Amino acid sequence: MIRLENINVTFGKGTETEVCALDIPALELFEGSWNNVIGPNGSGKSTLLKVICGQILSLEGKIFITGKNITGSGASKRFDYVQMIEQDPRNNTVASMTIEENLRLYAFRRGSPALSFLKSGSVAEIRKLLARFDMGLEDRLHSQAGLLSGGQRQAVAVAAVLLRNPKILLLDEFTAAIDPKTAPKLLNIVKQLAADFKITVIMVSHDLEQVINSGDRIFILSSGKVAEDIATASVKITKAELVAKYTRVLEEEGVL
Amino acid sequence: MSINELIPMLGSVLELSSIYSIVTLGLVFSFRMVGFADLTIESSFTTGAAIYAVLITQTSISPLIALTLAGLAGSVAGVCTALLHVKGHISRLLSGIIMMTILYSVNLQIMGKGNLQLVNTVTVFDAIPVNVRPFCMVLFALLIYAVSFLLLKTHFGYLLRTCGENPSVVEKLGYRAGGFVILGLVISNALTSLSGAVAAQYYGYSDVGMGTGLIVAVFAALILGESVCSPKSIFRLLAAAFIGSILYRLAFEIGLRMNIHPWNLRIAVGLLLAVALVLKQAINRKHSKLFVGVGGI
Repeated sequence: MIRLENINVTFGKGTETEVCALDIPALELFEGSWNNVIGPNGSGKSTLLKVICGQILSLEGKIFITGKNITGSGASKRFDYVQMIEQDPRNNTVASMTIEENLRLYAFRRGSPALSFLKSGSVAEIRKLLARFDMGLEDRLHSQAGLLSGGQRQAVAVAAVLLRNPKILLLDEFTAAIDPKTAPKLLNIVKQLAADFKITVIMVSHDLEQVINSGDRIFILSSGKVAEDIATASVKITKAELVAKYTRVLEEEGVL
Repeated sequence: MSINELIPMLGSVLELSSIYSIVTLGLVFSFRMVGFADLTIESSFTTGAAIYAVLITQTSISPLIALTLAGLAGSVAGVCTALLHVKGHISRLLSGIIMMTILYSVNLQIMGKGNLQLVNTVTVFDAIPVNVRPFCMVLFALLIYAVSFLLLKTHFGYLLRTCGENPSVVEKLGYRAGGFVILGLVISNALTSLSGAVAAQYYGYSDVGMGTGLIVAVFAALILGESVCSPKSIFRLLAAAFIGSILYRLAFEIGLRMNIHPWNLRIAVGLLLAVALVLKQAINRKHSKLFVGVGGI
């Protein structure tokens, strides 16, 4: 589904502050798979996500999505089939608009007449989607997004993003700013919905608990390279083993 | 003040506030929707007046067509300002200042002189009896407001608003935020120059300095309106723009009749804006609902 070939992202080339942020000779992610990416700060996790969604375009190498070379296409084109949720709950929603308005904004597809009014499609569908989050959001359709708590706002962001039927979902520490009670709940719902809609997910996280027994693969990045590629779908790994591998990567990098 | 003085005063308040309310509406599009405090309007207002004046005195075009062309001229100015910012990566403030400066000379070139009189020309007011004129102008302004309201309620309108409030969302929806900045400034400057063209007919002339001080006046009107009618919805935002324009004009006319020396008019305007801002922030704190559009001021 997603294939990277000889990807190299270097900032400040030729200057004394030259730093290689990402160096991946080959990487293939399969359709509908859940891929976790962990690694120390500066290891290239966010860079990897930005390269896939098109926010970083100055790179060497090629990116293929379902066999098509999309290396040159810009972010706004890629957001037709990729969606990203970042750490800050304010990133994906418009504060002064209500939950319903935010969802309808996202549900509108390009190509439909821009001068049509926002209400299209039934409220019942939106209510059903929001009800899956189990946060009471379906009863608060007229609350403005800016007045919601971080977790609620992030949940609205997830619902909104999923309304666009993305093929690929990128999650950049998206539960980091949410309280520890809501975070696992939100993550579970994303997992269910991703499985339902066969979305390929790449989740960046600092939380080893989150990645330990979820998904198909765990990548440990180090200095822009893939240091470990653990296929957790076939081989169950214990937390101790994962911590050991992670520690080894940090030692090799010189962090520890 | 006697009734004989009051009625004409109210009439002129309604007429002038109708004209300038269109510029305030333009400010809603450029500032509240797209987040661009556009100084171009000080010159594009005059561009509308200049284009209208030249067309009407030197050609036999009908006033309505001349008005339309004046509006189009404003939209060209809006495109230029927006491109300076979007493609040239010049800051919003400087883009507006640069275009305002350039347009000043362009306006002089259009008119061929500093002031162009509209003597013996047809105006859109000719068919309207004088005592009904204020109401017709209010109706005209409200019609434009109504169309704008409908526009802001469409998907396009929501995207325009998103562009100002949270530009990253625009990209996530597959659009480029720059395009909406351009369209927002096109609309706001087209409205401004349209208003300038109507003003030229009202005053009977087009003058290169007509637009000076417009940005402060229009901001004062918007803020004044928002402190009286808090913009918790798009309808209330537009209502605030219109009401604020009337209140501003009313305060101005009362000020004129209070024998404020012409030199001190700007003190009065500045104080009015300050009072409006303080009032708005005091009222702000009481509200639990977020205001529509780009805030900060």
